[in-house]
Amino acid sequence: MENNESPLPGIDVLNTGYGDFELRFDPNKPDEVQKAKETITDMLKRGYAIFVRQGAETFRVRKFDVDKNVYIIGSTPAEEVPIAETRAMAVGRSAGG
Amino acid sequence: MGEESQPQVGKDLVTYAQASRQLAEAHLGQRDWSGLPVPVAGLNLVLEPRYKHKSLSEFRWKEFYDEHGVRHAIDEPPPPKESEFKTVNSWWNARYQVTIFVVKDKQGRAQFRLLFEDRLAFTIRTLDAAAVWPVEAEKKAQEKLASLIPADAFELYMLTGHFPEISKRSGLTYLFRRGRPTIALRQNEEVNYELCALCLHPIGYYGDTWAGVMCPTDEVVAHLLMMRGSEEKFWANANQHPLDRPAAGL
Repeated sequence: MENNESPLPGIDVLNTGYGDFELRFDPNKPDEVQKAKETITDMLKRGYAIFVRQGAETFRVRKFDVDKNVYIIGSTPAEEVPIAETRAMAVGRSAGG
Repeated sequence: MGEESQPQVGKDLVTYAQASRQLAEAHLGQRDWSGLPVPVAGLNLVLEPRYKHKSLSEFRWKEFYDEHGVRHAIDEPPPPKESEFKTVNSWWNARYQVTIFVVKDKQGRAQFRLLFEDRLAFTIRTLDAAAVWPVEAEKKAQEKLASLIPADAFELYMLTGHFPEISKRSGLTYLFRRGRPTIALRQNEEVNYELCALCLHPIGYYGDTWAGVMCPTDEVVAHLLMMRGSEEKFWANANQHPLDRPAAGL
C-alpha cells in the first residue's frame, strides 16, 4: 500500500494529531529545498530519530550534510543518501515507558 | 450566563481527539513536527525530560463539559502527605504477583509493604487515554505501516493486532503489538525463550497505562523503525519489562 499520490521526496513524521504527517518538497525549487534543509537540521538538533530506506534496509541518519544535501548513515562516502532521492521517516524523542 | 454565551458542543467544546488534531495543526508553524500531547483528567502524563513542552505534564484540567454542554468541575486531588517512611529496597515477586517494598521509619525500624499491580486497572486507564487518539490518525498510521511490512504481516496485524519480524542484525524475533509493548524472543532450532517486553513511547505516555501520546500504530511504526535502523538504541531507550509484570501487557 505504497502512497504513490505524491512522488516528491520529503519526511514523514509520526504526529499525535495526524498519525503520519508528510512534509514534501520539490527538489527543483530552491526555496522548498532550503526549507527542507532547515527542517531536517532542526529535527536532528531536537533529537528526532530520522530513518531512511536503502533497498530493503533501514538506516538511522547519523548526520545531515547541509552543504551536500545528503543524509549520512555511515562513515564512508558511499553511505550518503541525497535528500532529493528519498522519503525519510522521523520519530520524536523517546520517553521510555 | 445568557444563552448566547453558552459554549456549543462541537464548536466551542471539543473532544480530546479533536483537541489533539487542532493542537497539531496549530503548532506545525512553530516546528512542533510531532504535534502536542494532550493531558487527560485523572492520568499522569509522563514526557521526555528534554521535550520542548515538558510543562504540559503539570497541566491539570479544572472542568469538563458533558455531551449536553453542561459544565462539571474537576476537583483537585489533595497534595500527597509527606510520608514518615523511606523506601530502602523493592523487588517484584513473580509467585505472588506483587511488588514488595522495604521501608524504614524515622527511628530506623524496617517494615514491609505490598503493592498489587492491577491488570484490569491498567486496561481501564488505557481506555481512558485512548480518547486522545484521533481515529483518522490511527488510519493514517496503519497506511504507513502497510507500506513498511509485507502484505501478509499487515493482514496479520489487522486481524490480531500483532505481527512478528526477525532482526537481520541480531536474529532476535520481535512481536510488534498494537497498544502493547513489543515482545523480544530468541527463537532458533536450539533455543526458544522470551526475553522481555520493550516499552517505548515517542514524546510521552500516560503513567500506569499502555497508552502513549501517539496513536497505537504510530508507536508500532516507531518500534519497527528503531528495531530495523538502530536496534541497540531501541534496547537502550526502551524500558525492559519482565513478561510477568502487568506493564508487559501479556
